[in-house]
Amino acid sequence: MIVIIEMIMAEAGTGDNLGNLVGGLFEEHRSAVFAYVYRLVGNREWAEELTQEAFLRVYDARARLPEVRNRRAWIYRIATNTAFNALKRWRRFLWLPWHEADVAPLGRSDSAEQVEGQTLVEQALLALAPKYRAPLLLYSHYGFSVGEVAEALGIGEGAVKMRLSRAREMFRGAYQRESCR
Amino acid sequence: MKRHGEVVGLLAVYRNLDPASRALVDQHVLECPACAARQTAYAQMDQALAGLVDPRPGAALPRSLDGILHGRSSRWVPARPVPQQVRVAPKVLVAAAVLALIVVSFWIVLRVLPPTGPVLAETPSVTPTSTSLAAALTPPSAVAPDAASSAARHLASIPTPIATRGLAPLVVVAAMP
Repeated sequence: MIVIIEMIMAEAGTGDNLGNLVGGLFEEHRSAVFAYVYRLVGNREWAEELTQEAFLRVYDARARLPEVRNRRAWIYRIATNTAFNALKRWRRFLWLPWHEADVAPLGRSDSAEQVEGQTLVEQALLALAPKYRAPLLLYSHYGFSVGEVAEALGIGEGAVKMRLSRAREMFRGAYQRESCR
Repeated sequence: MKRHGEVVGLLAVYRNLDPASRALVDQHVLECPACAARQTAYAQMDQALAGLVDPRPGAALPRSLDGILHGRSSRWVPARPVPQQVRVAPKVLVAAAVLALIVVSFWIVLRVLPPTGPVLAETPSVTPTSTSLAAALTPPSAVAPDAASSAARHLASIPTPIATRGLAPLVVVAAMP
């Protein structure tokens, strides 16, 4: 009897610990995951809701945390799936307005050139399909390795290299078009 | 040329290359102006993307996980209201389709078929006999008003075969595989 009670107590303790762990992960990655989801879906309110949804999924799957080798990649995988599923569900990525005011919350010290440069980069990024935008963001903006990008997107490393190569060429073309406007 | 295509792919992930692959790329870039330009463009791209300022979440995103969990338990709604998908068994769909077909067939039969069509064929009194060719070519009402009125009475006395006509689509449906 005592053993059973001890097991239950230990289980409860583990659950709490994992919950606390997810809480810590949320505080650590909250802003970055929001920005990532926002750049995938292009809408601030939606991104906030999807970020919550993603972390709720992380919380619900917290029992798997001890087995997860790369927690950051795992969180981004859940966030990516949440965002992609939402995009698929609503097919909004084709006509969603891009809120330029939200895109570049730069300080007053930033020059007009910097703001313009950032806007151009954001616009060129937006021109890419989410399938290509996600790996480019993860690799170049968040500093993921190819292996981490593969883990975050749930695809093989070869596919990541292929997508990155295409994404870079698409980005180059889109940036040149945006610059000419 | 084979090396050029290989290097183009490697340039996209230059940061993650192992020393051997990096040496291969560096050597090729010295000889290939196109790849050199691409390498420079990719480096600038990485710099521009890394320097992007992230948008900050608003007040709608709680600062702690407890806030989200509390929101879920009290007033959480999904990211967008998802319309409930009604799952209907295929058998029910087939039955509904057959029923709809029967109803539509009844409606068509009742509305489209002329009710007097088969009855007129059974009215020998209206049909001209061999009395005369002129009488046969003249409209019945003009030639024989008595015959026309008797035909009308005869028509009224015969019951309209609605039930018989209504069974036709049932037979068609029953004959379907």
